Amino acid sequence: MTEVNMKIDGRDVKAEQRSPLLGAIRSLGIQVPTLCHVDGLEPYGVCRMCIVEVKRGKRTRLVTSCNFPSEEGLDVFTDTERVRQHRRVMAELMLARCPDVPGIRELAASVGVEKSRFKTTEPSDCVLCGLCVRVCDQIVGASALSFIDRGNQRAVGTPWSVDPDACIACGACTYVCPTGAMHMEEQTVERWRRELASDQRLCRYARMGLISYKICPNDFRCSECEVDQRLFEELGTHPLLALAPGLRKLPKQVGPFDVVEDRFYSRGHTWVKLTRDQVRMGMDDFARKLIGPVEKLTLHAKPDDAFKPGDPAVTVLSNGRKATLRFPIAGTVAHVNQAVLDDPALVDEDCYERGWLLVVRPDDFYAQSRLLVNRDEVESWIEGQSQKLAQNLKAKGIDELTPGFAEKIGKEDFARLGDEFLKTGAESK
Amino acid sequence: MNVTPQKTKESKARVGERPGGYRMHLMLCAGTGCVSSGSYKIKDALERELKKRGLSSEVAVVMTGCNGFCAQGPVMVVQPDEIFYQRLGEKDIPHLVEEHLLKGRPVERLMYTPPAGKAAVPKMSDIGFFEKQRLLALRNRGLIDPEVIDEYIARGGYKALAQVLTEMKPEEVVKELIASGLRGRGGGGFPTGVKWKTCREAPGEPKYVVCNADEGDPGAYMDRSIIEGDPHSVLEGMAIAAYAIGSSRGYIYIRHEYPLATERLEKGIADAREYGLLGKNIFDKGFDFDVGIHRGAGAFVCGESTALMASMEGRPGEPRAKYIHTVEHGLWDRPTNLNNVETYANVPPIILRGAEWFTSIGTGDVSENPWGGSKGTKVFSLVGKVHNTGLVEVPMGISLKEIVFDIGGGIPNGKKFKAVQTGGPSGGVIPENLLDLPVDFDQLTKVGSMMGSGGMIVMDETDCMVDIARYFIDFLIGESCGKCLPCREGLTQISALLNDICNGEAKEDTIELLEELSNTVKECSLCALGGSAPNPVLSTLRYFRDEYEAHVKDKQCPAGVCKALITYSIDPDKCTGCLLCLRNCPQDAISGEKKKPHKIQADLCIKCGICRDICTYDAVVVR
Repeated sequence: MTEVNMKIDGRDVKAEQRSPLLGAIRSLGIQVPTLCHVDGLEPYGVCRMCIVEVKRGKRTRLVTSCNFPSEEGLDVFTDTERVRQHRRVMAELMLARCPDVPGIRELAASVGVEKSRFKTTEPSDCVLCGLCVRVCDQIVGASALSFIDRGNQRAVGTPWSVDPDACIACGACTYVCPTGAMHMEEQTVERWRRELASDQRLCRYARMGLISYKICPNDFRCSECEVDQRLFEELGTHPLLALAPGLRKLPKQVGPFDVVEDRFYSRGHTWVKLTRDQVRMGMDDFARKLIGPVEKLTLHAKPDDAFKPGDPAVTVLSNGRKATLRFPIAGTVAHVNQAVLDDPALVDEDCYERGWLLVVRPDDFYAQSRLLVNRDEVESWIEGQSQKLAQNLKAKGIDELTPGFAEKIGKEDFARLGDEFLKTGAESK
Repeated sequence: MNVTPQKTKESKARVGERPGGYRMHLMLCAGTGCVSSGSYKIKDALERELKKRGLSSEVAVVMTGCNGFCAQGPVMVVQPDEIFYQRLGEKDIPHLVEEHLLKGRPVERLMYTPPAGKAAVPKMSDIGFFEKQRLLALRNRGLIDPEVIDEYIARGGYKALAQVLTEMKPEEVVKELIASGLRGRGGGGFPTGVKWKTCREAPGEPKYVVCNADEGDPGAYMDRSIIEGDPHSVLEGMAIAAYAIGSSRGYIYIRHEYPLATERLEKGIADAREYGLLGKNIFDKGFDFDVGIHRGAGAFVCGESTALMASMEGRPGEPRAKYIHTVEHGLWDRPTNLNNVETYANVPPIILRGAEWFTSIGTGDVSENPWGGSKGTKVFSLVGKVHNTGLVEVPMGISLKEIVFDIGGGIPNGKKFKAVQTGGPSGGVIPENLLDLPVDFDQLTKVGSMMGSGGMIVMDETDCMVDIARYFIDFLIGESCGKCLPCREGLTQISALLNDICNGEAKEDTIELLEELSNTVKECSLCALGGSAPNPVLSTLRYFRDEYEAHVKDKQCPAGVCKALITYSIDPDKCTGCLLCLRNCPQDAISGEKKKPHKIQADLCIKCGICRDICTYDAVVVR
């Protein structure tokens, strides 16, 4: 972390380089009005209320403080006449859109606007700050909400405007909405009451992934649930906002390899990520670096094929050498990633997200997942694997696991290493 | 198969030695404008006629890219004499073939006659429209068949790429581009070489080279014509850029509404791959580069760099804050060099002829500061109230007057020039007293407009400036992504205020409120679309404020456009009582007898303007 020195309204302040200005501003106790910003979500910068003037050298410009990166020597002014003027006009625009929403009236009043000079054609409850859409995507991970249409027709809705299967009824969107326009999707909960067997009636904390397993004894009436309400009170915010930012992990470096701690790993270096009732599969960074640049991928299963652990899943061709990775679990193939088959280099670019290989419907994933490496274990496991591989290669005169080390491995050694680390020979004969 | 410089030379030789050799080439325009006015029918007719006369082995018909003189389409140039024919019809062909091609007598009737002149101008380069143009980006226009790679190579194509790969280090290419002073032709005017340098030095692999062909300005078709007329010039420019910044992957983001351009690009890419000019180990120099095409679904905002990249990644085409630039974190968060079609097309000639030559064209001095001037040429699509609408490429620094009057041939129907709008829908209007303004990036910005991607719309005295501003704002409302508040809500309210003004419902303070709001939208919007969207309002307020005030205070529309503020009447002194308007009025609002002055009944009149257009005595008055 590099620290930078800035001046905000004439006061000296230190901040982490490239961290949003808003943090530094608030650390001085200076109030800047915001609407579309909630700590824990990526800055979005659409309400434009947090504008400030920044000066670097001779040039002064207007920027949004929620996403402008802190830099050495920046001179920031949060309350100039120019800033106040624009904030007032924007508050009037908001008020013209949402004349009856208390939250918007308060925000407008805080910058000195009681009444808008602009006309209201159709009063709305929603100011399109996008908090609901973003919390569902970035923190819940469900992406059950999205924007529809564009320009002044833009609105928040569910994909294709149907009752979203992806909604886990966690209530995070309702919680973050500043205008009260989001209402809990009762339909989803009603359907669960009708359709789900008792052992499938997971508590919303289990659905959010915050606890491992709990059955709801209250017929999904969270407000009557003692556990639910106590957790809410203890945390002082929606539990996902308090606990979840840590769930959405960025890749972490373990020796020369990247791991992402939001999924399971097989002993043969494939990863498995749960998305509701399906799982996504791909190869991990260890596998791709050991195999080398991917030239061709051949899948051994097509949609609707059933498979069991140890069945061949994919054969990877690199430098004229082949390695076959195997299924770590049992299930049925749902779909395959055509993009990666067309362009296998995607695996090298991004093996954890865009370079996924298959989506499968697993047989009883919770039972099977116990055989996999979980997120708490993955770091130490990869570390062990990395050391073991380094020793193995040292014996062959390859000293370091530097980029491109795979190309130095001979064909026979490669087959042996593949068998040992990637379980390319059948795992459960 | 790999092509070495040697092989390129061979292929160049091959083209010259076409078996038999043709006596004449008929360069028939196959740009979108001429195709829609029937150039393929002309082609069939020509080929039929040539066959009939036994000339098929002597005269070749070549379908070229856009010639530029779109108003006169379909157009054809007969080479080697450079005789320019226009507005061809199928019926003209037998006569033309017999007279010109067989008997050697060019057909005057089918040539261009300037609006003011009486005599036809036979040679293309003598026509005012072409005379002041200088072709760099469009260097091959009308001279090659865009679908034949050999013809591009024969005109020196891919020579710049060969030179770069065999003789220059990537750093030297970047240096040359910076020295040339080339600035982005998509509108921003950012120095291309500086962008390449930043991208080259940005950490992260792989790097991408992207070409922005999402040209969405209404009435503008510069990029479309470059791609349709000379697709390889863009591919070559991209390959050079890739070499300079250290990339091996390129994408072209092209709007889905450009099927012909896309087709020609696809063919161009396939041919270049076959010749080893794209793909692995180009010119045996260990340089890999390939290009893919990404079709845009038709959103104006996707021409904005971050929205374009979001769209390519499969997300909605919405911009993000550009505080961290796309040259560092662009497509898939990797360093990405995005340039416009025209910018790439300018790169090969700069390499071949050198930065010094390029800086000899244009304004300012870029030797110290790449922002110090505007070098080279710019392609404009000249439309609106001018005689010669079409595509023109002019040297930077040419005056607006020369473009509108010398190239464009002035205003038709004896009307008076009022303003010219540059820079697309979010550009500004420039009034008559600034017509001597030299056209370059900085001068246009200074007067409240911008270069933009090269739209140029000429307006005459019958255009109402408030109505024009409203038209552009309404276009932008429909094209705003709606992500940020000032652009979404602000433009909607600007439009409402303009409607009030046009409808005569504005209050005393409406103009001030409009100005205040426009400034906020301009300064606070998230991306350049919102940031420039109020330009039509602000620039018309700056130069035509009296017209706004006439609407608000006097409830009058001086140009006679805003229906709520005008009335139609008949001047009894001019009216001859011919009954023509009376018969054509859809509302039966005109009464009168033969040879006696007619009258318009105000309560029935819907102000459609038919009577005014139809009157041969100019007797219908609009006030």
